[in-house]
Amino acid sequence: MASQQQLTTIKVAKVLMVGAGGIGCELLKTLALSDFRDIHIIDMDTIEVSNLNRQFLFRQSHVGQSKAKVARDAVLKFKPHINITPYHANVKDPEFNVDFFKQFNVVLNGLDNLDARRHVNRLCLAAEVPLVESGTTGFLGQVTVHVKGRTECYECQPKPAPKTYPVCTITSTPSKFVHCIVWAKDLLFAKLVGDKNQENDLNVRSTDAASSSEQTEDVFERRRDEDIELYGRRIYDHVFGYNIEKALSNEETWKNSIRPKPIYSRDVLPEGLAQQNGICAADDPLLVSAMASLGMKNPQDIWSLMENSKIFLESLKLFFMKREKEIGNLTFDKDDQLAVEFVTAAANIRASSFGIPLHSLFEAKGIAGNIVHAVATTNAIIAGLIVIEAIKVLQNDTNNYRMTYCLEHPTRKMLLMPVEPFEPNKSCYVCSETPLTLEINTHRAKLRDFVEKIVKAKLGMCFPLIMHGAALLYEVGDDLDEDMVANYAANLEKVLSELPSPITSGTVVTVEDLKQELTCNFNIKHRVEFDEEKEPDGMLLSGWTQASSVEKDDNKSIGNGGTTSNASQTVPAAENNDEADNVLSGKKRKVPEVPEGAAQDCVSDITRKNKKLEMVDDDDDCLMLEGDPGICKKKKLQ
Amino acid sequence: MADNAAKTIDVVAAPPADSPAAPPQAEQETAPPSDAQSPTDTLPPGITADEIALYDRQIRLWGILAQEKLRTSSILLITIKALGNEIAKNLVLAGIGSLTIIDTTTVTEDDLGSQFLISQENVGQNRADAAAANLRKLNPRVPVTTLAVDPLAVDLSIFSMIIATDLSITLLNPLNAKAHFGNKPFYAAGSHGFYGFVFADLGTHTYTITRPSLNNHPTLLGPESATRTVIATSRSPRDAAGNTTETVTKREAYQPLILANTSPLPLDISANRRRLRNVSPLLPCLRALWEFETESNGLPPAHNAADLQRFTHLATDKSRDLQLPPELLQASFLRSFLQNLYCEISPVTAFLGGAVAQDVINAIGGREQPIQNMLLFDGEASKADVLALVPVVPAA
Repeated sequence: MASQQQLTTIKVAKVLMVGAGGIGCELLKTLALSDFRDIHIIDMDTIEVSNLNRQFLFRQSHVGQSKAKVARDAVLKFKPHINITPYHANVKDPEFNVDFFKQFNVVLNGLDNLDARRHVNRLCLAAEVPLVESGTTGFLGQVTVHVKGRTECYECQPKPAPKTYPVCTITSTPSKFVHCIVWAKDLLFAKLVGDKNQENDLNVRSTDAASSSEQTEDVFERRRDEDIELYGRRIYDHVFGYNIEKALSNEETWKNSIRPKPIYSRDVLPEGLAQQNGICAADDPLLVSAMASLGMKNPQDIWSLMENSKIFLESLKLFFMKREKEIGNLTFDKDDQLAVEFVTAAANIRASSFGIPLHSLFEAKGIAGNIVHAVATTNAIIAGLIVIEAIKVLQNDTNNYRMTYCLEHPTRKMLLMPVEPFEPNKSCYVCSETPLTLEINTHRAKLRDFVEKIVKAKLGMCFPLIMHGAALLYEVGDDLDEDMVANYAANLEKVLSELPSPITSGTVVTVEDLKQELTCNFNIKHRVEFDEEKEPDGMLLSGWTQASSVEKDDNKSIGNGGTTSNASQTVPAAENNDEADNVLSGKKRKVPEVPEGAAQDCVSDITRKNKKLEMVDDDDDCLMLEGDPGICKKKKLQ
Repeated sequence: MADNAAKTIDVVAAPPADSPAAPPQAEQETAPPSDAQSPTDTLPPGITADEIALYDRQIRLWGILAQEKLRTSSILLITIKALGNEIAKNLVLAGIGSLTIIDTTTVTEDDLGSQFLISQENVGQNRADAAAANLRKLNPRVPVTTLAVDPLAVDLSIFSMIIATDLSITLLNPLNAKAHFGNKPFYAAGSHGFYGFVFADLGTHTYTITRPSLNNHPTLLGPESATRTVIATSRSPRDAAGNTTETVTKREAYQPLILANTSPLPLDISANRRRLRNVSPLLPCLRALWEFETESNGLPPAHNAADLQRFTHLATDKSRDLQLPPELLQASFLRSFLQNLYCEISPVTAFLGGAVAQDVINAIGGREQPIQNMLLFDGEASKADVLALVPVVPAA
């Protein structure tokens, strides 16, 4: 089929690739070898060591350099006479506007996050350029085609939100290792070396938290001239000993769950830390390591409680001795060895307390960093399929477009599952003009709540402009004069019903993102009461539903998601969707129910905070295909 | 290297098929190899912290034990063109013990542009040598060597796996026979324009699958299909949330390509009209091509009327032998297949190279179900189906 016509189409096509990572390297190679001559590639990332096992255009010597640029140079070595234009930049930068997108015949995504995928989807819709979208996780992957008006857009199917955990599970009743990791990373680590001004739930677990709030404020501060090891032990005893003991005093909580045991440093480490820290002379802050300074080498070992306690104290000490300048500004980074060591140790000590099995640093790092499994083979397979679809798109071979899912292993007797694309979802707020409905307390909610929780968090807009009729209530941009900026800042703090042009029940509010050329209308409905548990934002958006989040399997590879050989094997593709979705999204597990006593505790916590802790994907090659329950009910494209 | 290879062979080549099966209870007591993320994994002596950092993302997928098995494997790749480039790249990146490449041809202008491991400066050099230089840069930890010899004259005993690409059936069959009787796992793969195949003959292959235990009934021991037997199961203790995982050890028995090529479709397909209609027309086309080559000293059909007519007859015969509905084999498909015989196009070789390497990696690691035994890829329809083509009465 590699006909003359096909070759000509390929040679003259102008292609935009977004992402030069796992899929991107394979894709750029396959495009070049397929005789594409004009390829533009955007990636904001630089090369890291853990990329080298699959991003084959990169070498050890490239670590730290721009992915887009190195990828270009590497491909030109074996394919010298083509044009590859690299951009070491964020695809959300304003220079990549609708006009920029309009110059391309097709856009190919090899992205690692939902945010950027949604952004590119909107620009492709606005510029009317077809999009081929992709993702991989381990042995799983998928390629989908999105052509405005013909197939569904990337956002026609709501995407799962990142996994969140109830505050009380994290602060008082952890039952899985991941809960301990979230506690160590988002609470303890953030409290000790992160931004002190940020809200933190670390002490919100005891019943008399309010009365001791003043006192607890100081506990985490290192006192003037306090010995660094004594400080570490004081923190240790407070969070693993005193706090647990205080929690135990509330009998209600433990009626239905195993009582944790308090741990004090003097019991685990009766003697002071010896002076082992001679080895650690690294200048690079990312190379400072408590493991190295304690002479521990194997990241796959599971440390004893004593070893974890040593790492805890040593890593905290190293933060204060070697990286003091960063304290107060640190956020957890999976490539920060010392941070990973501290979080592993803290999570393991907490796990000991709650009778949860301990984990190695390697495993803890995977959970804390939300690291996605990634291999070269799947990326190569997916890149091949992207190019096949791109060629069909360039030839306008509409009837043969396929969404292709790469299955795990051929127990089912197929490695690929091709599905005809679906029609656009008529109620999609992105590619149709259907208005959304927002129930909100217009007498209490501020414009800021609407902007942050709905426009930015739910709709993924970057540069919103909010209008009520002809009145402009809010906008962002570089070209605004100071009066306007002040005016909008004032509006943000106003309650909706008290805005210069009041928003009340029945109002239609228009929100626009000029960069994405996306406009949404909201029908506002005033409502007073909201369920704090189910509607923690104090508002309810409908007309577009966000799928319930699928819990990532804590410590098992998705690759192990079981397929049984006696399961039905040859159901035709379209009928097979729901089953495949199960395979694709890994195992779905129920979140264990919180024991009753504890639940009451939680309510009081949640009334105070209404906040949930989040785990967010930040690695490359991430897959966005989880849970798509509606897929089998949709109509096929005719 | 011989030592390494010998060690790996134990791992890869399964015990002989006729060895008496131990009683089920005894089987259950000897726990099968633990799964990827098992907390009991300890660091194998060879793997260094640097390697763990480099292979981080894949160790998270298949586990440190599988990585160690990869690390001690020695793989022979016969013919390195576009498909060979992809397979070699994927295996070298994964960190196999060593790669040996046999290719006796020299790089021509025609090779450029479809093979990323070579460039203009390599024209006139041996194809394996040229590619090997770039493979070494891809992952300096993996030794890559080349041999300029007749592949049928090579001593296979030092290798743990043989992969043959882009060969005619007149070479594939004797190579496969040699590997089969030497107890060496063997893969064959090739592409024709938008179509391609992967064939596996892993002899007798044992592997484990770990999966969440959905109910309280363990998987039953005994035969699961014409080729597959469950030989052991074990179960992890329940975790805090009450979940357990089951580890199932299975054994697949394979046949060489020459027997697969005369075998009927699996019963569950041949007995079902709808499934028959879903079989790829690529299967009769490949069989016709191979028969043609057998009859003409390894030469594929040329673009002349006589050859095309002979090929069409063969394809129709093969389709009938397979009891496929006559309308399955369309003239347009035949034409598209014939026009692109042995033509390599990049998206297709990327797919096939990924599929072969992934199966090789899992087979060496002794985890996951490998291809049994013919994967047919149709890039126009984005289909990649696996058919178990085995004789009705299994050969002894």
